Amino acid sequence: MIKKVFTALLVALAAAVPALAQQATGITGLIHTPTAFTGREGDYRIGAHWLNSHTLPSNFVYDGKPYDSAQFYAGISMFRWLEFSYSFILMRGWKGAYDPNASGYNHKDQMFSAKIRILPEGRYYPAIAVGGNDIFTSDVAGSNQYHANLYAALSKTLLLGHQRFGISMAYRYWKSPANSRWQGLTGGIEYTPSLLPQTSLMAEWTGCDINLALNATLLRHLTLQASLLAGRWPSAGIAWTGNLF
Amino acid sequence: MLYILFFSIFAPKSAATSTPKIETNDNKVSISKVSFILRLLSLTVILLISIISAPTCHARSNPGEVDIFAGVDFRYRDIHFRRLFDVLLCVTPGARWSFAPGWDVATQVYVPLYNTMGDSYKAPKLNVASLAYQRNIGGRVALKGSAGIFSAERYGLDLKGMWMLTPWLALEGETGLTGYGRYTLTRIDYSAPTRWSGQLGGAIWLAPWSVLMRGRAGRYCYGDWGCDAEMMRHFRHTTVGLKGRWSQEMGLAFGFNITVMLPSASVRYRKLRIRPAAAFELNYTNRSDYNANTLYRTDPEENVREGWFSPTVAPWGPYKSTTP
Repeated sequence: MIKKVFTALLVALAAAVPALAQQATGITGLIHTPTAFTGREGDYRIGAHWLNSHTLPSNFVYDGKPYDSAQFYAGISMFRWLEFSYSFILMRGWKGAYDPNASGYNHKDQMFSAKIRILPEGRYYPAIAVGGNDIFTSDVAGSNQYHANLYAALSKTLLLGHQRFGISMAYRYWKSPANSRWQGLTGGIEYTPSLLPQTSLMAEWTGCDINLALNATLLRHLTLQASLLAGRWPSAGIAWTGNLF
Repeated sequence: MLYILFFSIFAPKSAATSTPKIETNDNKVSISKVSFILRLLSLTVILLISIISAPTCHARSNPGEVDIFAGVDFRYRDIHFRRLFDVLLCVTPGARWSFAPGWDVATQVYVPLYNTMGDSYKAPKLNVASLAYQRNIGGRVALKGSAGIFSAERYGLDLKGMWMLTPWLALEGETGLTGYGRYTLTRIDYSAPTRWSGQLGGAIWLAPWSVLMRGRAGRYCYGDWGCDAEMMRHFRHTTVGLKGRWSQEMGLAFGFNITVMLPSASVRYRKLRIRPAAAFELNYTNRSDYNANTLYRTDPEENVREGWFSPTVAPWGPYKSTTP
């Protein structure tokens, strides 16, 4: 049995394609911070991410306590220079008349995200992209824009032999004070080993914490991400990825 | 192969299998939630693979042929703060008979399978029953006239036109005289077909990028004035579009649509063809109102990827590339 599982894993890895990191919003990126890298034209991602409470805005509380949640998304690289996604995140709250025992994930926050790459990566200069999450709202006051942020990012690929490093830096502006701890400069590095191009290791600075993650693509379409936030809090995601061409 | 996989996933298993089961009060055996979700995920993966790998269907029949088809209509809405989504899942069997060149009779029924939207959606309803004629005039103009029951609960007369000015630019227009009409098994509601609606606009086809940009303005079928614009990219079997629209009833809204052409697996018997519906469409806007920016469809398989006309009648831009 173990031999069969091992053989199946080897076949899966052999059929894998280079991993591209995912963000829980459906836009390519590191773990929590954005990059200027974009997917190939026609690349799509449909997935779910379990999010530790430490990755959520500080106003994601129920009965005074922060809670973990899950985010579901669909994203596409419509062009080499444009990515777009729709996602919603579950919010905990009471159902019907107030009763703490009847609480559950009864609410959600929906959001659109987009990234525009304004300069492709060159031999000596980095790619430059601008983008944002939770960029539209139907509420005039914008009180439901829990995740609203805009960013400008730079990314550069470095090749050391056959080892690939992606280095990114971004400036991020968050609209809500509940996200102020991530305000300002962020950045990270992604390492793709030559022996396992379908996996990548990531480390990022979010503005207040250092996060670590392992990303892997199996059977060409199944992308998994496991991360450790601030070196302590685990999160994980799974996505079905492919290309529409 | 797909049928074998389907039955291997959904066929009932004996008690000797390890599938967890729950005995309910009325002695009916049902599968556990986890097992059901796993089976549903497996089916979704199989469907995705089949969509990606198989050649796709087209909404048009050959003259003299009768097509019987069925698809799925999936709608969800978000109007309750304390509930995630309201969902309506319908199976949409239909038939089309192309009895002469350019002439079509088509019908389609919506049969709800899963409904959390309320009682008004629980009964099967007649969605479309129409007679249509389309033709090309002078090589550059396409016209289509329809009469009957249309989608969006309208019935009446409709005329569509397209003027193919250049290979990349076309003018489009539609006008109709319709009334409200809802036809279910238990009840028929209707009003006099006296409301005029019409839109005029243009489309630009950017062939190097397979991008279609379209804008229209006018009066919609529930009487509101407004406009809508769309930018869509055509991929191998899928079209993904971003859209914006404005109505005097609702204001500004943004959204997207995804159109996936379904596999063309079919069973033939002489002039009869049984097949899946041509396409599956999913639309989303951040704001919505049933009475705002509403357009009806005169054909049960009309979709944004294939347009209003047959590819032989309007061989323009993205539409000619969908010729079977």
